[in-house]
Amino acid sequence: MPIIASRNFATGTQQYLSLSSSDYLRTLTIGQSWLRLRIGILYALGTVAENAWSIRSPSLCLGVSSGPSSSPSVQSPSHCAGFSVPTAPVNAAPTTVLTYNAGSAGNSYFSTAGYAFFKYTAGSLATGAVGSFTTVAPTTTTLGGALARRGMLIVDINKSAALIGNLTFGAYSTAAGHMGLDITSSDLYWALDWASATPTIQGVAMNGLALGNTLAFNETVNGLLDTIFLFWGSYVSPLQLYEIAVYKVG
Amino acid sequence: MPVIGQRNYILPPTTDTFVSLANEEFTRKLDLTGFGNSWSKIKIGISCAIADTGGGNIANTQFFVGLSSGTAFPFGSISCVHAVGWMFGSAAATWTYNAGAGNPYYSAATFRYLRRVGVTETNGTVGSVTISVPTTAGSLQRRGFIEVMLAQAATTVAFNAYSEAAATAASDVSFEQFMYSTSQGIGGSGTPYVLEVQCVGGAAQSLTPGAGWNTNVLDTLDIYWSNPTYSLEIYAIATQFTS
Repeated sequence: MPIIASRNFATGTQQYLSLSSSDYLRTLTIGQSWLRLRIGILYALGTVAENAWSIRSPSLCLGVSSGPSSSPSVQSPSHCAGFSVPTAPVNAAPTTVLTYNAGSAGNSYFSTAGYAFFKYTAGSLATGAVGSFTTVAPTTTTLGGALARRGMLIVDINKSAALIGNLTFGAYSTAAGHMGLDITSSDLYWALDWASATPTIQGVAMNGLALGNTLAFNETVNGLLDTIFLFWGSYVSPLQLYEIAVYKVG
Repeated sequence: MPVIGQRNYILPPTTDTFVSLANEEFTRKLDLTGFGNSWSKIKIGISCAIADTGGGNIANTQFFVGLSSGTAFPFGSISCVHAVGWMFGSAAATWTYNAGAGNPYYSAATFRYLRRVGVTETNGTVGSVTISVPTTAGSLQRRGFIEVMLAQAATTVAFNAYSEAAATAASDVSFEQFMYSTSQGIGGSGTPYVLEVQCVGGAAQSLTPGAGWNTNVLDTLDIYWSNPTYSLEIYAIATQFTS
């Protein structure tokens, strides 16, 4: 069960939701009446018993679903779509990892060049992964003099038409150059509100993959995409969720 | 009768309790709510150690990890209703004492995967896996790691078995590290890593009992250790299902 705790940062104390093989879902007050959404999170990932180990068989998914019962955390999700790392939300092999990086000055982080945009419709999975993209997230450790840090991940989802159309996806992540920095709430809101291209946060460009991966989705048949989800599949290394924001672009 | 004891470790939980089996069997009915008999894979991980002999091998010892149909007549019963699982060692196998570098462990290369009804057993011995389990002695108190995966289908049952490598048997696998290893390859895909060293164990092996083979539902965790003198200490058990 997710738990709530708090942590001190240079900018002050912030509460977080700790996810361990669990998810956070929230039905939007605007329901499915959107044509473009950006979903952004501030987060950090726990290490494995404070070791310099990669996280094996992980699954991080962020996106939209048809109600809270269609999260990719369930065995056979009915209808949902989103972004996942390092693979589609399937049973990843132990050789599939979020790679541990020592960083500098103790500021360790996890990274992966693996990703997938995915959809489940009536329990069937379809994926796409055109282009290169690297997700980078800070660890929660403060050993070795590390700064208490938050990272950022944003998923950009566009509908070609209301109810029946194509979903086109993009994604943005903090980069390795951010791993000595703490990403704040104002950074998140600024990134969600950018007009075009890849945002630059605290002087460092984010890793970006512009809208371009497309999957067809029929909301009339498969249910309204009215709920956002965040799923973290490891039950040993928790994901600390500091902030989640949804920006209706159109 | 199995007894409960405790040992002290450096890594948390620094005081860990265990169930001791000596020619005894541990069974526990699983909560299969939502699965019934329609599970496709069950993975069983065990954190364990074996009582130290002071340097000698352990002879003629069986270590069964699997599932049975109910708790009344499990694998070890002459009236076994139905049991399926992996047998490390055998009634004629030697568990070799390895001194290590001050942290000894037992190893056994003999195994079979099996299905038992009553005293009738069908089994196979294809593949290879050498189990390594730390002893309860040594300069470092240690807990080991093994894992068995079962996959059932209409006419077949498939098996995987993994043990931590001999190289990591000199180290303690703490509870968090044990859970980390059991979390890998959720659904039973791939060979897990223990302390970042890949386990030993091979490709899936299978038996084909035929249609209706699982009418007696496999709903109970079943662990059997046959040696009455040198006990098996079980610190943690973790199971995972996929439908």
